[in-house]
Amino acid sequence: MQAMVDLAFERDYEEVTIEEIAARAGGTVEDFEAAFGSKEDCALTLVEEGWVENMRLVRGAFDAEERWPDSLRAAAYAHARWLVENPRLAHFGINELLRAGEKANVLREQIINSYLEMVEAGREFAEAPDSVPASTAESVVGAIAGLMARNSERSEPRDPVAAVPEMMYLAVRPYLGEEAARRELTIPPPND
Amino acid sequence: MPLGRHGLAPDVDQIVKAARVGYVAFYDLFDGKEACFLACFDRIVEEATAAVAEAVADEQEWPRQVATALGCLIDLAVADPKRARVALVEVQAASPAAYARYEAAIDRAAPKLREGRELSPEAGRFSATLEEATLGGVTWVVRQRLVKGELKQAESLLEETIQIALSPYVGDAEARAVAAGILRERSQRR
Repeated sequence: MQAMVDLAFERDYEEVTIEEIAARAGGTVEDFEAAFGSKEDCALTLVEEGWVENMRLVRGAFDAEERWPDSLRAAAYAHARWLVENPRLAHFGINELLRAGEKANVLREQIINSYLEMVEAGREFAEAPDSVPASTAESVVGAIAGLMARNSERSEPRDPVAAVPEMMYLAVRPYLGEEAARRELTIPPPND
Repeated sequence: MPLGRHGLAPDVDQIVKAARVGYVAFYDLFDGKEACFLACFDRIVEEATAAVAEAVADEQEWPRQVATALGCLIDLAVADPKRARVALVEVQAASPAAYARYEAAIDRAAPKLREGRELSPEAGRFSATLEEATLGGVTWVVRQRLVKGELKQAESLLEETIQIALSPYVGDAEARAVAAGILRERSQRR
């Protein structure tokens, strides 16, 4: 699977053939087909495995903090560090997955939506929870996913860890207001 | 171009058949399927832009201009979900060039939203990516409703997107008031 990630990082996913993936991995087309069936299924398996690991770390960081937005900030840094440690897989999941077929698009939406609950937890701490629009978390997660996709496509992407305070600003503002959101811009990353 | 009948990727055979034209006529106009898709996307954006310009022409205040523009775009999506799907969903998966066009279309709307900073005393301290993020967020919410087939609840969607778009600039209470006013006027027009 690493062969597919590497090739898709070097060129567009659509241009990569099973023959090339098999050759890069040191196997044959038959080996590839026996293991994955198709290129799309390989892409899905790859991203699903990465997502499970990512969510384990992100959710673990979220649950370790008692209060929102501390919990969301911890989750955001865990996510950013995972992106730094897995740049090619992250690029594949964020950008190339879009063009990996209809099932891959469904998976991409599931992944994006899996972060909703952690953002929506902010409603409990809002001064007037009922006045925060119902689709706030959806819009925050969609906005951040869009910014991440743009960043990942840049020739010199911005460090995801450095971008966390700005993402936190966007997530906190609808729930806790401008002051609390702006505070996020001044909080340094945790040391670990 | 046939929209929404062949999943993500109708091929040229399907396009010429649905359009009832020959291959020669197709290739006279387009280099291939991607060029056809890009032309289709450009036309949808161009027509939507013209519709929004007409809808907001009589609005003097920035919050109402933004709210009316959102109402116009949601109405277009409800009236023709296949076109909306091309502009918001398929374009992201079609090709890197198509995705770049989509991002460029979003970017063209950002300066209009940025005008709202003039209404906020806090604007100088806003995040630099606020407009890009707000547009991305609003687009994502509409896109999700479209994919789930929930566009029929257009009024609640409009109310929420107006609040999301305006709140950073005019505050939550004023954003809610603008949304309520727009919804009331739409209800009276029906």
